Amino acid sequence: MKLLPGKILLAIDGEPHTEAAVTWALRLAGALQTGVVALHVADPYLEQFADDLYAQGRQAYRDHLQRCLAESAAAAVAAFERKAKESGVACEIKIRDGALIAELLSEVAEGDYALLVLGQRSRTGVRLSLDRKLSDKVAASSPGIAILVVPEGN
Amino acid sequence: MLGIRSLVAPDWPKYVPGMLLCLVLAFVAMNIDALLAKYHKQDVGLATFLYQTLQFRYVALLLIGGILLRNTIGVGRVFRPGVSIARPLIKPGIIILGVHYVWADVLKVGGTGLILAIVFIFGTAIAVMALGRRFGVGDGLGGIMGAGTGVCGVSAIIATAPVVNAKPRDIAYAIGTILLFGTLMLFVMPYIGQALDVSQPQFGAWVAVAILNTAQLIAAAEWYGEEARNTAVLINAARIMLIPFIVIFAVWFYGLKSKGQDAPSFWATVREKFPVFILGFFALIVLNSLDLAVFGGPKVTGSPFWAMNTVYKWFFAVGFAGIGLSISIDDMKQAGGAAFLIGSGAATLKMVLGLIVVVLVGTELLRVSGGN
Repeated sequence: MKLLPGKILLAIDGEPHTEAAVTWALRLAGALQTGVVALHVADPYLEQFADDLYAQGRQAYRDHLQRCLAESAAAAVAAFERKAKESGVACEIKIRDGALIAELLSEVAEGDYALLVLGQRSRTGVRLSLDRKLSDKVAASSPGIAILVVPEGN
Repeated sequence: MLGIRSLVAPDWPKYVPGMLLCLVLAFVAMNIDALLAKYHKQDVGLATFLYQTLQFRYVALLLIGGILLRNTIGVGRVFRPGVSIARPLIKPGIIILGVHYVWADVLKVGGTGLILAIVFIFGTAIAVMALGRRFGVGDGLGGIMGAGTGVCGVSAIIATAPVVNAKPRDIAYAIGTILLFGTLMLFVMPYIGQALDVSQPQFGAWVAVAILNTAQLIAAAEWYGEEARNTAVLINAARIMLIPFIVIFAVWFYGLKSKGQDAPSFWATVREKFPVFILGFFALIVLNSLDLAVFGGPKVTGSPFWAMNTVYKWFFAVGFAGIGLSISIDDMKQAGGAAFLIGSGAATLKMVLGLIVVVLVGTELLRVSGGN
């Protein structure tokens, strides 16, 4: 019998602070006998600046960003696959292109998920008061349960 | 017919809503500007306070109005493509401004400006890249911050990022920092200039060396006054021509460590990174310098140059509406990390040193005569 009414959606970006979330989600999925869908969002946010007033070499810039996004996706997926294999949990990997928050929320709305797991860097000083982290925004907008995992000692 | 169709972007309808929005905002702001000027002349207290004391000209109205709209009710998706192509309309405005100069101006103000630009651009780039390396900042971030704080802000970051293989996060930090300081300086420098009684030509030269983002420096100078704008546009023309050379410098400085790439040749870099449109600006300067009766001049009513001078403000107004609507506080919040420390240090130093230098240079060397 499944202990969780759906899968766990895990956001992966290959960043060090996300590793704790990956470990945590895989352990939880194993304990609750459910699967994990790892989602990587390739956000083309920086492409908009190619239209800056005097920008030259726009195509080279766009190509560079595309290459970086592809490399980043490949690294995030490879890092997740390693951990998933060790855990023995049934996993699926998805990659979406678009704005991070919008794509994460679309995936939550379209899929059959019981839980959303996100990694979060700790915030300090000025940035804490100036900024709300993306993960906070997603968690606040998510219709289901969202869990933010902050690595120990971070 | 086929020839005309090939000149039109196939997806042109998507640009219409945003462009119309910018046109409407420009129309409203230009008319408020004209009304405030009229009532200020008639000594109406509120108009004088807004127009003279607070300097609420069309530039400020469009920028502040655009920023408020973007960051409160937001700019709908349907408007965004049009807003993004409204900003480059400043370019035809700049080309048209070529009718305000003669070659004597290019030699005197442009020559002085070129020296200032070379000193400040390469001084900043060398200092930022060398200090970055000294303190362990990666080549990608050091390269884009050196170029970005040296010349043309975001434009230089776009040109340099692929060459030094900058990471997306570093690019986001760098662009956020450049936009943050550019926006702060755009709104702060005109008031500092007024408070310190900086002359218009000096102010134009000051913003041309201190403000990192080109559109923002032109907005600040236009806001300060016509003479300030004339000086700023000319010095900026000298400045943006240096973009390819900054890229070449970055390639040399970092020994092009980007993986799997050969160092681009000198001429290939110049060809790819040179802002070609600026040649139109110089072509109009040549025509104005020839003093041909057929073209008249910006002050000769009814002449072609007069007509062009009349419409430039509309190009600027629509472009400034696009800039205001594009300034997102979320983009500026991306500022952070080492980029923020480097950017804040370089921007502050450039502002202070730039002011000292333009005060020492004096007004006359920086004043544009414009010929007839």
